[in-house]
Amino acid sequence: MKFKIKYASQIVGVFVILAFLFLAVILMLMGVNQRWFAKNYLFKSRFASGTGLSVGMPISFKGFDIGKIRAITLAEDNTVEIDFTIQDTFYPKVYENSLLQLRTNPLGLGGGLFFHQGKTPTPPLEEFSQIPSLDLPEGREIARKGLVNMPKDDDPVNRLIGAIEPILTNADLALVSMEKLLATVDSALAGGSSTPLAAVVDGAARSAGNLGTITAQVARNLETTLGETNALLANLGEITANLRETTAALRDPRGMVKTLLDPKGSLATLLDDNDRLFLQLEGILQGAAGGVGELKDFAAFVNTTRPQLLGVLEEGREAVRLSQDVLQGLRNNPLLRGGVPPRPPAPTIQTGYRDEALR
Amino acid sequence: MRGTLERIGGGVLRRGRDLFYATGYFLEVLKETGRFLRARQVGYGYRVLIMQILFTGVEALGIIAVISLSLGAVIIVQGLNLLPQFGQGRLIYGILIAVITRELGPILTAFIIIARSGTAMSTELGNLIISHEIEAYIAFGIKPISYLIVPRFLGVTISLVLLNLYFNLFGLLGSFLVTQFVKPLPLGEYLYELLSTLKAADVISSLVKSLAFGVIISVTATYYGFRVEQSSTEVPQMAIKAVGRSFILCILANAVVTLVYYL
Repeated sequence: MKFKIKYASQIVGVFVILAFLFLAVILMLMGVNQRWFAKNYLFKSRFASGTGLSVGMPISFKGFDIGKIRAITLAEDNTVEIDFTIQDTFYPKVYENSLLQLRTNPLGLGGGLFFHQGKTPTPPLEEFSQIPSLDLPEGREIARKGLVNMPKDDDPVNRLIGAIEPILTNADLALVSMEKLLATVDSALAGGSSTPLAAVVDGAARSAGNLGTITAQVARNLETTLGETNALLANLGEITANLRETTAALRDPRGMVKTLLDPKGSLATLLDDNDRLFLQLEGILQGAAGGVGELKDFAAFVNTTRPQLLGVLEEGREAVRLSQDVLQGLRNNPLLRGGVPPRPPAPTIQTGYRDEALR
Repeated sequence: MRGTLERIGGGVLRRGRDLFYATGYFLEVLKETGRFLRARQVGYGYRVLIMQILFTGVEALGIIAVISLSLGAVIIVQGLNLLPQFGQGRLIYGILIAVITRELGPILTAFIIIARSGTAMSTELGNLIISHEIEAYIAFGIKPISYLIVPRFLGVTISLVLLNLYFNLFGLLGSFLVTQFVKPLPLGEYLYELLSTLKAADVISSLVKSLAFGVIISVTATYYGFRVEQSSTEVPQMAIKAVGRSFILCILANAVVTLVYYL
């Protein structure tokens, strides 16, 4: 028989026993580690508020978790009552005048529920007794009398917050003062005050209003004056240009002045020769007018004869082309080479009035 | 229209009858199990129970050990590499317990048992019906449920609970040994942190799940094994149905127990 089948009961027995042994060991270790079988001592305390408290929250003493909150209830007098346990190993440290302190900080770090031991060593408080908290007057009184060991905050965040607090208070006071000052200045500037500063500000405001009116009036006057000045300047520019030309003419020694003022000059002659020169000039001008008329007639003649001239030129060009063909035919020896080659008709460059009429 | 209504109505009635029959079958198995456990003398059923635990539990130990060791080692190595970067190195123990003990341990064990033993039981019972052996048992005055089903039911359920414990043993402790080759970790620190994180509720949740899966797998596999009527071709069909239904029911049961754990 196969070994496994033959010893099936034994194999299965070992299999079952080992599994349950493992389960038992694990449960036992869990129990020891999580203090399932250890005695915990129950105590009570009261706080002004339940904020920051939760069931299961550990209670710390010098960095050790010595217990935890078991229940939280709201009491008749609106204080918050907690039931918490202290582990048996830490129970002897629960002296009289011990305190609980709930620390919170806005960053959520370094907070928690802390146990502070009473200063004078005494037998441990009885189970179910009340341990005051620093939230209520009773606990604050114990702390004020110095009956409890309360170490300074070891938490750097709490220390930092403690150092920042006075600075924030001073900053707050400064901001309040600044706000008051700004309100006063604002009121004075709004004219709602009878102080000298208010009177000065009021006068300045009125002057500013008058100044605006005056400025508008001056601007209107300046606009009118500016238009007139521009017209004057334009005239003056023209006069200056004329003067500049006249001055240049006068400055030339062979110029207008000498010619005009010379007693033998053209002007004097023209004015003082009994119209002789004038009449000559008139005759010349009439002759020139006649020449222009003849030129006009010649141009009209040319215009009328232009188609005929163009026809003659075209015929002459055709004759030259025919003579070129004859010469080409002779050169090619028509008996051997096939005679005169065909020439594609070329359009005429010049066209006569007749051609245009026929087109 | 009338035909459609008839089909729908017929389907609902058939499924209702099946469910009613399955519930009756389950109650009958429970009743016979109680009778089996109360019996003063050890009968033939005891031998079948031992053999069932041997085949389902002991023989599956190897594959369970390999899977849990690998899974635990991977979780520890990955967690020790990643989590300290966020200053959350201690979360590794919570993750290890959530994955090995609460979630993957029971369900992976159940899947392995479905694949190994669920199909085997369904096929075996189907073949017994085909070969008329069940009729022979009845002819001799032996109740098939008492002799064939109850030992299998108990064997699979006990095996699954035990295998789940072994899965945890290898997953939580064996993987620690594997991790020593990759990233050495002090055993004391590991055990202290692990046992501080492991809660009784985790252990109870894990055991309840494995118990429920054991019941589901054994009852489903034997139920579909008995659904074979006369043809040998029905045997694999019913085995497939047994596997499919077992998977679905195990996953649903897992979800229910997990929800109850977080309530």
